[in-house]
Amino acid sequence: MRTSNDERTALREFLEPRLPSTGWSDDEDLFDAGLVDSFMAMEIVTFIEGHLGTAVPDEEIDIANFRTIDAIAALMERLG
Amino acid sequence: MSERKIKCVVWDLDNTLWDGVLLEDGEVTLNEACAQAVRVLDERGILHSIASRNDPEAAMAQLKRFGMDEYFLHPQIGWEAKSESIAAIRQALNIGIDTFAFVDDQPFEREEVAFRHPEVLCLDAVEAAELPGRPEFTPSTVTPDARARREMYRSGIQRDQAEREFGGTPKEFLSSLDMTFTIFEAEEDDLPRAEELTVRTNQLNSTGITYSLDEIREYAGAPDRLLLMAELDDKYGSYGRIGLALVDCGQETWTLKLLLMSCRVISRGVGTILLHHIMRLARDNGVRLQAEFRETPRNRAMFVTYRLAGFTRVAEGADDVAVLESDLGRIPPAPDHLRLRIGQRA
Repeated sequence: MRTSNDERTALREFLEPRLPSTGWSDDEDLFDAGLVDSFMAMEIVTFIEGHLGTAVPDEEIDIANFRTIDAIAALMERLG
Repeated sequence: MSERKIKCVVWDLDNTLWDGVLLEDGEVTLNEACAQAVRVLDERGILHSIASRNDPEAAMAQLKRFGMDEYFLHPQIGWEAKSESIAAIRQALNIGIDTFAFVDDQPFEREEVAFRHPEVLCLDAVEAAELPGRPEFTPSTVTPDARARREMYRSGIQRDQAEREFGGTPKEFLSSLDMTFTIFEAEEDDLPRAEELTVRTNQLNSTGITYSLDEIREYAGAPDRLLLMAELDDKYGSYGRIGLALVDCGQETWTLKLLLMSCRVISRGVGTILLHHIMRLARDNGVRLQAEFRETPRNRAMFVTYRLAGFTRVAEGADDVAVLESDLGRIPPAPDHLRLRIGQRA
């Protein structure tokens, strides 16, 4: 059974090589920190869809769902 | 078939680009008709490559002696079938097989290529002198970006190699490129490239609606309209003019009619810079900012871009065009891995 910890681990494995390796926490704002631009976000959307095998509906493509690791993990849990 | 345009010519070497057989004769002479065709077509932005059964080192050394080596991208010199060589070049350049021509003195080679790739225009070496006069080798307009196309591909090859060999993270690699992103108001010289961008850009294109040169000209210099373009450079060279925005500037509301970014720069972390710049302009001018979006089979990345820049859907317009609006509340600064320059070109 899939748990939110699995999602979080997969997400971190995906994100870490794409981001500066300085420590950032699960509730840090990735957009404000300049860590994620919209194309990075598109990569994240593609990652989620590949990982879950389901599309992210348009109405869920919202900055609130992508701002932090916590928010992305919650989105994945909701869709998974 | 008069509409067909060739983007890449693949040349044989022995008894085509040069007279003689390198490995048998030892000494060969440059075929001036072929060499001249290479130079003239290169000026027009048509690329060149090689498919030759030869010793790679000896053949490249000979090309260098003729001063011709820099014209050829992804040369395929070895003992492969020439149809294989052309398939490899096509994949490396990422252009359609029907935009290739192949020049070889030997009927057997031309037939082998034509059998596997019926879309390739196969020509005898004796026809080389006529190439520049043929319509397939004559682009309708030659933009400065077209003329620099070979250099852009060459710097792209170096950049890709550097990226493969780079030890750090992608973000660190981007920082190492020393990029400059320039945004400027387009002038007459820029209009053919602007038109080309509306036709050639599929993924990062907010509507997929193409504009003619005349329609684009209506945006340049009009008091209530804005035609912005963006250019990207890094330490390996220029990517050329890679971004475009058409804006209707109403008294109270600006409408972003079209926003696009060439896929040349898709992995460079620059996709939102032009959009954020327009958001700042709208905020500074005290107007609302709306953007038109029309879904196409390939432009979801642009929808994500707008949504994550804070745009929400406010209306459904005609012809499947949705209207999005930003509250202009949060506008991030340009990413710190590049320099942003406004209004003055390199």
